[in-house]
Amino acid sequence: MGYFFEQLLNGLSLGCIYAFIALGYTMVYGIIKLINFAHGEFFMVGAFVGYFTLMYAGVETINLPHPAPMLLALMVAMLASALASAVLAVVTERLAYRPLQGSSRIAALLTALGVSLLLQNLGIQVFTAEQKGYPETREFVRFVDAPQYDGKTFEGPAYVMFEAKSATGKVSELREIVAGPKKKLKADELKFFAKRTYRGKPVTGFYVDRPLSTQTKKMLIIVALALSFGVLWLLVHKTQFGRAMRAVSYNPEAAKLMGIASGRVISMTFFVGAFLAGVGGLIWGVRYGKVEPFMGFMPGLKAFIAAVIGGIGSLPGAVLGGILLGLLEVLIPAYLPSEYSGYKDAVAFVALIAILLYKPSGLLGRWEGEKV
Amino acid sequence: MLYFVLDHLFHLSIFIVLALGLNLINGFTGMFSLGHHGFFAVGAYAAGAFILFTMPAQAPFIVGALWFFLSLVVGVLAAALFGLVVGVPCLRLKGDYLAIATLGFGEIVRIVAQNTEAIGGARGLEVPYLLIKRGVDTQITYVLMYVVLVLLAAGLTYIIIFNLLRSTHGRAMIAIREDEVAAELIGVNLTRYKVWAFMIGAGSAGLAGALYVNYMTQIEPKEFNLLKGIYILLFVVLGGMGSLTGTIVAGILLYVIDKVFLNLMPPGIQAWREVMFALLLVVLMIQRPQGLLGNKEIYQTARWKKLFGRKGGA
Repeated sequence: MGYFFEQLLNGLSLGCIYAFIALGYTMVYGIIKLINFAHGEFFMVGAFVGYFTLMYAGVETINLPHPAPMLLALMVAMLASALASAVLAVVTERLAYRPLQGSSRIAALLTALGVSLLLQNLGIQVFTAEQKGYPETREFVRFVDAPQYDGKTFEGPAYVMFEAKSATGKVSELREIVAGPKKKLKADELKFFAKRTYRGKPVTGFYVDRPLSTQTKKMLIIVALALSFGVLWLLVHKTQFGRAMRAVSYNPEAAKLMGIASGRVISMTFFVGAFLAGVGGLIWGVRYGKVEPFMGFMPGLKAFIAAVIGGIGSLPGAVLGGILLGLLEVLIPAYLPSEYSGYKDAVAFVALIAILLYKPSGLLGRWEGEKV
Repeated sequence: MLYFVLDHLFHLSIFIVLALGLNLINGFTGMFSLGHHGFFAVGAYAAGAFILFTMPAQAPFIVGALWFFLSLVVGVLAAALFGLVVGVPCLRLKGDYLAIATLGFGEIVRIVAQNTEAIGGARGLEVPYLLIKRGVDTQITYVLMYVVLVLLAAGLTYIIIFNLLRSTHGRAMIAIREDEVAAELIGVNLTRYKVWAFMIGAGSAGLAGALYVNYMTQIEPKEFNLLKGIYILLFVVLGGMGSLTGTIVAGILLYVIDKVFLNLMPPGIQAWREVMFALLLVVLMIQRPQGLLGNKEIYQTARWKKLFGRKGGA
């Protein structure tokens, strides 16, 4: 039973990340009937911005008692990744999708594919193609507080970040481990680092990795999705903007006649959708520990499949589809002999074809009849 | 040098065969398929597996030649059959949904090939040389022979599709593209023609795949990825959906820009190759969504008539 619950939780947390991406997909499709292939890349950019914020923003150094700066760092990173991918989405919509209004669906779909490829390859140029390890959550210990840790060991590595100038004048960043599970901290040794600088500022303390347990991460993902979905639901059903959005999605022409600035509504939809994808990107990085420029394509595609399974255009459908897909994708390989584990990626596509044949409108979607 | 030119010509012609078949599905019948690389893979793998499992060892040349042609037949039939398998369920889907479903089929083909150890799994499939071996002294003959073969295949595909489009059946397919409901109302059998379009398009991709595996003698599942599918689609879209000559012209243009021109650039610019390629696709779609020639053939354009048309002619 333990194994089953373990896998169930794995599936749920993966499904929740799919749901984060699928919500944006379904909103954009609902409003302009475009499969925004680039949505997976918004997710990727979110993950990278989260990576850089966690690595370099130094939110941990805020002087507050222990867990607070760590959680604050996560929140700031989440906000940064969400905003970055939302802004990117709005810019993309402006430059690539808006000029295509009124042209054929195929042209729009191909443009979306092109934008997706473009962002992937720009990602390689900007972030380099190699995989980056996501930083663990960490605590910052000031040198003045160091004596109380003297002679103690830590669960994770404790290290000092500083920069050094080589003979050629090239500045490089160094990471020196001062203590760990087996190595005791010697407070006297730290004085050596106090004279160093890091990113132009004097070094005032050392970092201790305080990794969240995998179990906690999975739980947090589920909570984060529940909260985000709640806020989104309120936004769509209880605000003026939400009403405008539903109107444009229902009938863009009539909405325009009613005085709704549909262009702005579409921009905002992209903003909100990509905001969620950015949050999903950070969560993915924290959960799976790795980011790379191609990371967005497969999850993006699968999230679209999730949106189709749930019924495209339906918000609860996106969540349902995402969770269902995550569960299928984890549970099916978990109970098959290991030589079939390579078929994991095929599960989503088989599920897609099955749902399209059996119920093309998805589980919670409406079927709009064909008009002559 | 000649060898490299011929090698590029071979790959370009393979892409043209693929793109012509895709144009029948996408451009003329109006079904948006994103899984053409899957048909290509099925053709290549079926032909490769056929050679690997049935070819007698130490066979004389004539048997090798026979097996070569049989492998082409197997590739075409397998891909066409797969086209039928994909086509029948996908008929109920339209537009975006069809695109995603065919994309799914393409991915499934790749994943299955990657995980089936009998055909090499992720390591790939290796087949023996059937006609002549590719040695240092014979490589020019080798590549020249395959260029001729694949050009014949391209010509055959072109003629078949060209004539098909001027028949009742082709008109029916174009009618489906123009307006599905109207076509059905005037008595076009939607199911039959959609499946036919899928099967012929897939069959030509199978032919390309069979030639490809014989030429390369070594294929890997990861070659048949979505990017290849998009590359083929780009030929069709750049040339104009529903223009056979457009596909060929755009294919040559794109391939030359991609492979020849960018390879002469300094490495700093080459690194941006994919970026520029994607940018080209986006800009093209925004500025000229109908492609270079739209749905006209090159000899139907005004400029062509002005240049080459007979005086006083139509």
